[in-house]
Amino acid sequence: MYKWTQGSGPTPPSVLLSSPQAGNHEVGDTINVVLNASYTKHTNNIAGITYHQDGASIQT
Amino acid sequence: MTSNIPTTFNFDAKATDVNSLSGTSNVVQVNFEPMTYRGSNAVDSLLEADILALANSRLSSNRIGNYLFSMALGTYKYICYPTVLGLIPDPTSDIIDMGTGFPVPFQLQVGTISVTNSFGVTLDYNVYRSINILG
Repeated sequence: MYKWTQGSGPTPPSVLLSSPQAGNHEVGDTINVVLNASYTKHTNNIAGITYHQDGASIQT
Repeated sequence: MTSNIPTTFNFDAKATDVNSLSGTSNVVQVNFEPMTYRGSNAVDSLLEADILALANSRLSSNRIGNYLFSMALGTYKYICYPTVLGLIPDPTSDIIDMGTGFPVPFQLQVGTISVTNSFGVTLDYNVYRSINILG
């Protein structure tokens, strides 16, 4: 007898995001936000990455 | 990027692999907050320069918190924060000495004071002063 066990399927890429400017700034201060993304899986299979600000895509 | 009002910006990233599978990153927050001030002064009301000269300041988007004062005999204690953070409902009883557990009565200075920060942004401030001279 054989039993078919369904696998968990492919894992989507996982990405970590950080920014040196994250956190608090005084009103009126002007900062340049630098976003640092790092992949934790499928590093060699990333087709693309998009960045968003409050849900809207931003130009990089 | 800048903001002249207290606000938060959220950033995230979405990675898509060659099989069209997508994963989204954690959110990075950038907050713009006003400065709040606290400290001691012997005068019974403050002007803009007095507020800026108070001993302690911190960024905050909430008036609620712990305010630590240094000893300064013969002075009033002051708490100053932007009007956008609201009023203390009852300043005569809502501010508690954490050492004794008893209220330390404060009063709201009549009229707000416009304070311009080092970036040229002007906000109106509420000024609360201890009713009594404290050490």
